[in-house]
Amino acid sequence: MTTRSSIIRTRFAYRFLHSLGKLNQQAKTNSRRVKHAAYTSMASAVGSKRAWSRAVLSKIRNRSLNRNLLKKKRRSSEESRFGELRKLVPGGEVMNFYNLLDETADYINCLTSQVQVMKNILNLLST
Amino acid sequence: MDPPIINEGSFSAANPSSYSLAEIWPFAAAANVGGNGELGGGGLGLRMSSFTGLLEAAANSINESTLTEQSGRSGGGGGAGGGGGNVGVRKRDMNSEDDFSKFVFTSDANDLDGSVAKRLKASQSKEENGASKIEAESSSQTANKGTEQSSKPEPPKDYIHVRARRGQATDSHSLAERARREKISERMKILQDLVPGCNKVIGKALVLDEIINYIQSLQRQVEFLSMKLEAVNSRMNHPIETYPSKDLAPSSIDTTGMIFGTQAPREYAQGAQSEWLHMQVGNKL
Repeated sequence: MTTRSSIIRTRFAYRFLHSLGKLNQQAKTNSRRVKHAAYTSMASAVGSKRAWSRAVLSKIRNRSLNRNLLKKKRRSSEESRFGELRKLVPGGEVMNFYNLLDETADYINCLTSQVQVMKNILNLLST
Repeated sequence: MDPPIINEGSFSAANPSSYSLAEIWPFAAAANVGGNGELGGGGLGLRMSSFTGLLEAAANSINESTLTEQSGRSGGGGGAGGGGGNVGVRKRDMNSEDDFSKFVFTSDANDLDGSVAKRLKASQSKEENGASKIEAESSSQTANKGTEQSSKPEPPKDYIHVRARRGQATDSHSLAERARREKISERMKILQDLVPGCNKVIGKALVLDEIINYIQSLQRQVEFLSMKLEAVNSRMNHPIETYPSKDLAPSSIDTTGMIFGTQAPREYAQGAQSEWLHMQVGNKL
């Protein structure tokens, strides 16, 4: 597990810095784009093994198609705890409950490592 | 070692022993023979034969040191066990001086076909390899006892395992539901270990609340960090080239996150060296 998370961390750092460099060359950037870059690089670092990373990647790939669908979904989703969790984990709307918990565990792992790596990068860049 | 010989014939049936017997031990007479004539029909044909390799050794071996006793109630060939009062007890004393003596008892000649008898013989010959004495005692209530004995070494039949405690339903739907719930609670435990401070929380709903809060906080952290990074990144437009890579090198030992936080800015600053970074990443993996 430690080796896997370290591999994911290195991949994420590499991709994220790459996309940061790309963003830097563009004229206007905002924090949303950086966030998008962070999530995309995280998902591509994890790969297509996980359902949540697949959901993120597909969401990004056809972003323009999904824009209307997402609005509809947001309105129709009822308020419950599982519904909340489903909304939080990408791709969670279509999973069954057992898979949702499984993906949630992996997603939490990846998020924590993502936060750590981003903190490190921020420290490096700001010093 | 000479092969042991089985006499399969029931003792009143005119079934000649097709095997060459060196010696057939004298039978003790049946202790009690009831009124059923079926005994004669082969209900309790009990015959024991011992064949030792050496005739003289076999002749010497009637020393009554080993007792073999079989008492069975002959249900007849048809297996009418309920009313049959035939009990034939047959005692057999034998002592074989050498270790090769084998004996086979067949309580019912009809039920015990040759293959079963051979299997029985084989299983017994293993046991008595080391010991010169053989004692076997079997008291059979029905005529089928012989076959039951022979089928003893077979493993017991496996049965369907049902994990249901008292009072729990055992139909397939509730069993599947229970298995699903067990799987989910196991996952919840894993999640509880992942989320800090979630171990003390009791109750599935509260645990889920904690998990949701943790994920939200992580996502907010990512958002916040990306805001900061955006600010730093826009500031870093020009002075990125001023990063001395040697200054960053010592700090690259700390963690893996630090390593790639330090190595990547070199690539970031000098985009042409991506191959070098690939090599570095490959080495670290």
